[in-house]
Amino acid sequence: MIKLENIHKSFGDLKVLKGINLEVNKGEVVCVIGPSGSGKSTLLRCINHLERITTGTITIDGEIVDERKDGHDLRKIPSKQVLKLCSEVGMVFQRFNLFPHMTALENVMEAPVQVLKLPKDAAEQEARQLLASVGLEDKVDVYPSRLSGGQQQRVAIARALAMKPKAMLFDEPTSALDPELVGEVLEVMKQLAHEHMTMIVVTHEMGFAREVAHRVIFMDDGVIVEEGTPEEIFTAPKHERTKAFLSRVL
Amino acid sequence: MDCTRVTLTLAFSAVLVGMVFGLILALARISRFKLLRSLSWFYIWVFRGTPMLLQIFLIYFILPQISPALRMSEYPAAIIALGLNSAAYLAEIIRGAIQSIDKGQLEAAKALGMSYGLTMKRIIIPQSIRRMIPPFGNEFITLLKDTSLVSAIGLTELMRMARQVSSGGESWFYIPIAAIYLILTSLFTVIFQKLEKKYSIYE
Repeated sequence: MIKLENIHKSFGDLKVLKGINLEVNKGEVVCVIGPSGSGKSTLLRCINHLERITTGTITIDGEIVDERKDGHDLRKIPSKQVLKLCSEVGMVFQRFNLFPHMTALENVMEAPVQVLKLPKDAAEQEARQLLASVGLEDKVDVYPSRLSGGQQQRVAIARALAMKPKAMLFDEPTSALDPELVGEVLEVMKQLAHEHMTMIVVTHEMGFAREVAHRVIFMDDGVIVEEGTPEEIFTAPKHERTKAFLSRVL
Repeated sequence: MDCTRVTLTLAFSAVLVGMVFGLILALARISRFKLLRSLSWFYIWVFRGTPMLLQIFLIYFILPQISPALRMSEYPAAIIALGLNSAAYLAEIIRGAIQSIDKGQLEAAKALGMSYGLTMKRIIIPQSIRRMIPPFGNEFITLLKDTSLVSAIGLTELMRMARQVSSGGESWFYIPIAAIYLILTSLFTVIFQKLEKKYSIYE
């Protein structure tokens, strides 16, 4: 469903991604692990057009969403099209990025009303359902500053789901949370996985990766070092670098 | 008290011109297009770098000499001069406030498929407003006092009134006029504090 071919990304002279090939199937949950600075987050941000790739091709459902060679566009994609593609892939950020001047409900309704042009009452009804599904039906009228980190992140997940995305990207969704709040967010993500949402999750939560992922990818220094089922990666890693990383985090 | 109304009308009209034009200048200043950025920079550089009185004279006396079509009566000339000047200051205030908003807000909006214009309108500018209020209040109070400069082109606002009366030998008349300025500036200080509080509900 999501297909990355030979993705390279540089920031100036710094090469962050050095030839990534990855295919994610519909309904699959892929967890990306690896040391910080390995390019995991950049990879996600490239899929969602928050960063421009330097070379390579990204396709979603067979449709080329980004294609570049040496920094040049091979296919000029109109910015309207880019935005549409963005909205088809939901993104959840490490620091939530909720809109602070809007209540939880308004946060979830904003894009469906403004972008999809849904009627307000329909959008509100859906937003209430979504907030209920992440366990926040009693917080609809609360501003983000009055919510805990875990609650904020659940609103952020509901906000992304409101656009009915084909896939969800999670960029270290629990890294900014107090330890006791991590569980409630992972619970919502597990629920999504059970509903067969296609997910790419950059995470340091090895327990989550082991339990929920269909496939685990270990990245280091801008390349995919090793990939396999959670079993393969966590119990019998083949690569030295994977072993070294796992021994540090487990 | 007509002259108090003139001062207030000048200040309000000028700040309105300044806000609209200042917002355009601020958006140009952070635009992707170099030409817009340069034009906006140049405008701000000129209007902040020259005295307001000179700008008033320029618009009222010098423009009509370039082309008679640019001749204006005192009122519009004063409002335009004050407005164009405050636009330069307000542009910097607006730009600062917009740029102080966390980059994550832009990214979140983009990830939801919101266009740049929509993001500015719905996400960035509403959040910047609260941050603009304190410096905006300062700018408005400065502007309110600067309206006294247009007495130089013959508009009878508070300052000119004071001068006219006191030149008739009653120089004590400056004192009540000073008091009126003080009352007005104090009033607006309080109003802006209230506004700031009102816009802080979500923080």
